[in-house]
Amino acid sequence: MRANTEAMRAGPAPDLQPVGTDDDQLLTAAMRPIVKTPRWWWPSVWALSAIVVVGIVAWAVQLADGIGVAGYNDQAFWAVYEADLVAFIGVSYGGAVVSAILRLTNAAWRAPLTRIAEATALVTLPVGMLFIIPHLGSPQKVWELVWPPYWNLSSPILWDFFAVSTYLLATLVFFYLPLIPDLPPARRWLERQGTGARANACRRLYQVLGGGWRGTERQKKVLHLSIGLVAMMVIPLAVSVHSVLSFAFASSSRAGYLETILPVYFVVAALYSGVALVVLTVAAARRLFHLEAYIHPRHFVRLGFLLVAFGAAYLYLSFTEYLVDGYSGTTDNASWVRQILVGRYWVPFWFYVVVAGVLPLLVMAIKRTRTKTGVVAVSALVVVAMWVKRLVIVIPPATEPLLKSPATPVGNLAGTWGTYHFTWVPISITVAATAAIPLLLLVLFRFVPILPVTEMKELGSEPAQADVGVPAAALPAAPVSPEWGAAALLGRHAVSELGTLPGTVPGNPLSGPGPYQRNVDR
Amino acid sequence: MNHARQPRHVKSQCAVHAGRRMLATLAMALGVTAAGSLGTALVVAAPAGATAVGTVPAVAVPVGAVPAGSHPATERPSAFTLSARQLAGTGAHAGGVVLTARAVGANSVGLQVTFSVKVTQFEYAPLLQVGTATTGASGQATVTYRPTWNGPQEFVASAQAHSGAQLGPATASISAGATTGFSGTVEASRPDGAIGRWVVVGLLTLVACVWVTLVAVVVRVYLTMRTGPA
Repeated sequence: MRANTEAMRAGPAPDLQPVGTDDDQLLTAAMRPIVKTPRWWWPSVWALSAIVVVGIVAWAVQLADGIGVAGYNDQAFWAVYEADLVAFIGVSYGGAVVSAILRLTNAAWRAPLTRIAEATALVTLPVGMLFIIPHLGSPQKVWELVWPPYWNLSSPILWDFFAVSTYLLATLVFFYLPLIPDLPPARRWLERQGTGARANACRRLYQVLGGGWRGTERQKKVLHLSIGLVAMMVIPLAVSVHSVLSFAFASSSRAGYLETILPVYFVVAALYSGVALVVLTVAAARRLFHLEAYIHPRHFVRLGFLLVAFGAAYLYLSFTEYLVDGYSGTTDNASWVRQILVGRYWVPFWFYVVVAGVLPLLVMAIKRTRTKTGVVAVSALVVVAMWVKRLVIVIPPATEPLLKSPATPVGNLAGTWGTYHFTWVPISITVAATAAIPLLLLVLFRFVPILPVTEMKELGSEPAQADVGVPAAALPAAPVSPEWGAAALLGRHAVSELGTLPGTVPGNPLSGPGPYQRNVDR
Repeated sequence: MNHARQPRHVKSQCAVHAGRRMLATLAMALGVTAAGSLGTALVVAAPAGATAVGTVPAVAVPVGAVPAGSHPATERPSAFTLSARQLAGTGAHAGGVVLTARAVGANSVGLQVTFSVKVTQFEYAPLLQVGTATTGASGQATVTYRPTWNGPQEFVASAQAHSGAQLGPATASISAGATTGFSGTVEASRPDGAIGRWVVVGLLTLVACVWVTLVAVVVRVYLTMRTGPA
């Protein structure tokens, strides 16, 4: 570790080529999920796989018996699958956009989180995309959606296909590029310490994907430019994808869907739930793969501030939507707003308001609860509550009666509201998709390093001095730019509220002398 | 009678019936022989051997106090049937299936009939309502349904008698073909619809550029790795 510390003193961006830096503690921590199989790993994989199989069986039952077994009927034609589609694709944005924003703003504290965040985006997006299949009901005709002789260019579903598939490619590239510098040292590390068929497969994989990386200045320059370009593309892509997803609702003529606020609404909701899922994923990875030395509790607090910022924005947008529709007084809009606020849908709506609207604000406002545990707990609640909120968005307008009944000549809204019945089929499919995310992450991190080793070295995100045994005073002080990172993101007051990092001057978290402390708030 | 479940016009009809019966009963009690204003004929019958009119109470039997063919509300139609036939020819309703429900017997007028088609897609709602109609003077109610699939179609009709009793369900089957669909909404005029094509071309070009850029980025990085140290 001493050699590593010396290398960091010498300057940033050390080439990973020299032997002696590959087998350090950081690389070992990053490779641990690949070479070590914890006792919980196989039981977890089998249990999650069993849940996924149950979901596939449920889908097969739906194929055999019709979409009615999922609780759909002529008065509830859009329900849980559409909500799942929006929710699962939405959470994928959090990982990619948070990573992209933090990269572009050069927030150094991001380093230990980016690989996990990008991996979360990578696995949740395909899972979300799959929901279009049970949603459409007839998978044998799905290809007609995207095949030129049959496709309908004026259909928002086709627009969704273009947008989401483009975003999937961008996410894949965004995951791959930062991985490249880690592959050669990881391969060498495996040659020394890894055994078995999977280690051999990983070595071959690393050779194919990044075998030519030598860490030259030209390669670094090209790679950094490329990552910057893709990061810049990911943000507008993410915004466009989820706004296009909202077009399926907003371009319809049905009250409750025909809302110009929906695109913004969807994007912010995606970021909100996405950050919450990143918090959960990072917390799980930290605990299961023993990354406590690299992922500090203050990372969670910072993510918590991001979470609460998006949550407050979403709460405001919700208020705006219901205010405008309710205030307008038009019969159809006022009807569904009433049903949501005080009618048949009041329970899920107010569940969202309390759990994902107010509670995160309180948790982050109160110093006692502004902790890792508090942020993780509230993130778990936010993920659930935001899924419920998607149900509130999808189901009430779909069940609103629009046909004029001769028995009720007073108007077209005097008919009977439809009802969506949850059945075991959509619940099983939804739970299966939820289980597929940790399952895919567990498998993914059996093949790629869980930490961005090179990036963490460049940014100085080594373990805190308490972890590596280097006294803080032994490291030279470095100029600090408080305009970046948490100071810029959260404001001076918020940063001081975060407390002090190990080895820093009490009350001033930006005064730390060590590289980790220096850079974590850069 | 369960008035709360009746349509408004059925309720008003029932009210008229009840009012007429009440007036007829009142006239009977007063020994009135005719109530022309109501269009009601009362047949007055005196017991045999009676000599003094007015000393023997007359027994008045109201005939026609309610419309011809009407019966006490507690009576219900004796039969309730459903028939289906397919319309031929051309036009908006060509290929449609005419569903006719017929109530026969007492109180067969003014019944609201609900027509449904049996479907297998919806577990919780196997009967998909296709329309409602009210029986006329002949006791018939008719709706026209446009089949959405080819082959056997099974229909169900049900109604509620004025007494509150359930009529039906009556069923009928027919083999029909799906009719050509048409939109029930009125399309708004799109004065700038012509630019849509160029918008589509522009957006697809943009998407293509994004794909090319992403692939080019990866290829460039890969080539940099292949060329080795500069």
